[in-house]
Amino acid sequence: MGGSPTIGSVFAQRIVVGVGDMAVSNNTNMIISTYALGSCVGVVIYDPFVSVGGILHIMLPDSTLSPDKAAAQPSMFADTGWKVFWQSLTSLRAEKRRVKVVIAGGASVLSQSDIFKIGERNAIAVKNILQLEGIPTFAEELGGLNNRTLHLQLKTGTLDIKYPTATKQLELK
Amino acid sequence: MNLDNIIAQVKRLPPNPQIMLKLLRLLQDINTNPNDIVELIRIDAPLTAQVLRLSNSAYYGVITPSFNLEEAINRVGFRETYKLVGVVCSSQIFNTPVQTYYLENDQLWENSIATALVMESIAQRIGSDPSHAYTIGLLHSIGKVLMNQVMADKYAEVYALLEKDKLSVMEAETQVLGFNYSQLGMALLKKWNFPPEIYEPIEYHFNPMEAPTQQLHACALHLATCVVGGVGLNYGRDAWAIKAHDEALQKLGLQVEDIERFLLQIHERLNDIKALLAMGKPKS
Repeated sequence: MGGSPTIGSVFAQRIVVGVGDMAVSNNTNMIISTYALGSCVGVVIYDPFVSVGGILHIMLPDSTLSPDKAAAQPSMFADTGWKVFWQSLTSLRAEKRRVKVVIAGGASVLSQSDIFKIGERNAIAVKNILQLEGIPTFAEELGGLNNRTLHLQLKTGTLDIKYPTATKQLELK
Repeated sequence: MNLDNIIAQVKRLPPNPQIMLKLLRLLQDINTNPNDIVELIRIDAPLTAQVLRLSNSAYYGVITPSFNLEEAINRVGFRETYKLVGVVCSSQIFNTPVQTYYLENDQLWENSIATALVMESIAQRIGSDPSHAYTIGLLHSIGKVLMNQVMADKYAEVYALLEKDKLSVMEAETQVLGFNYSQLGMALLKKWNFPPEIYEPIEYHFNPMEAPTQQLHACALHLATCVVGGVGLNYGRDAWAIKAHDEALQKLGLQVEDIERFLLQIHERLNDIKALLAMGKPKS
């Protein structure tokens, strides 16, 4: 029955990306979400040509802190996380020249303190990697007082960035 | 501003966790008889049932469940029993939306348990009392529950100061209301006869170097708040409206790298936190 809708096309499916984790997909019924990015940084990548997208949720800038942890859970750190994330995206035929990249999160405390600059350092680490790779960012939603929640719809390339009081929508087509 | 007068205006005070106070005293006393702890918990039938249920959970790797309180307590240990009682008490206080701070469902409760666990790790690292530290972390936001009832209409102004003038939540609340939620929480805990070891670090957790006698745990709580935020468990509209003080780190004898290690530690316990939340929810 060619005309009958599949379950997947009626009900959107959701992958939730936890802290220090990542997900990529080319299933256009899929919504990829990550909740409560505080000082963590979320890297969202979408290739509109093949409808492939993903979210990487890093917690710390540099894997030299704990190579064991990085080996077990590479998505925890910006450097090791980027490698597995990009590898997974290209294996689904995402290409550098087509992708739209959004980075979000990296909230920091108000004062110029060494104690909690982790948000800022996470954001800098991700930006440096993207620069090295020669991939420009489409949008950056960084810093500020609030946590952010992200929802990426693979069918449309719509990214919702939710704040406690508002939602910002970006079209990555 | 008389904080006791503010507390008198609160229509529904959160349930008083007196059992924690009594257990804490028993834990601190080296002459405590194990039976004293069993007897104290047994008085409260719903609490007994909850402690039994939690101590029998997979979280403790239990294969043969125990239906006897004494046995259960002996198995998990006193300090762990205290933490279980803390999970039950904190559920009754914090497992509720707190609209004033934009906290949904059980977000404040999750934050409280995470802060308690980070406080315990910091205490173990710096060699201070882990049960005190746990209690401080668990109860540090109790002032938010009170603010939500009596001051909700003032928060448009508070948030304007946060977002436009970049004030910290402590500064903004003090400017608008004349006091802040950590002071209000302190006043309630004092009224409930908690000792200064518990209420003083809570009162000074935004400005820990000003704490008169409990500077170490005030600094620890200051740090714990940031660490918990680092794994995304500091929710609400004021989540990052904090001014961090580097002196707190020096006071504790820690380096910036230690903060990152606490982050890795608490990340490993995220599943434990979820499990505790799921188990600690009252059966209805």
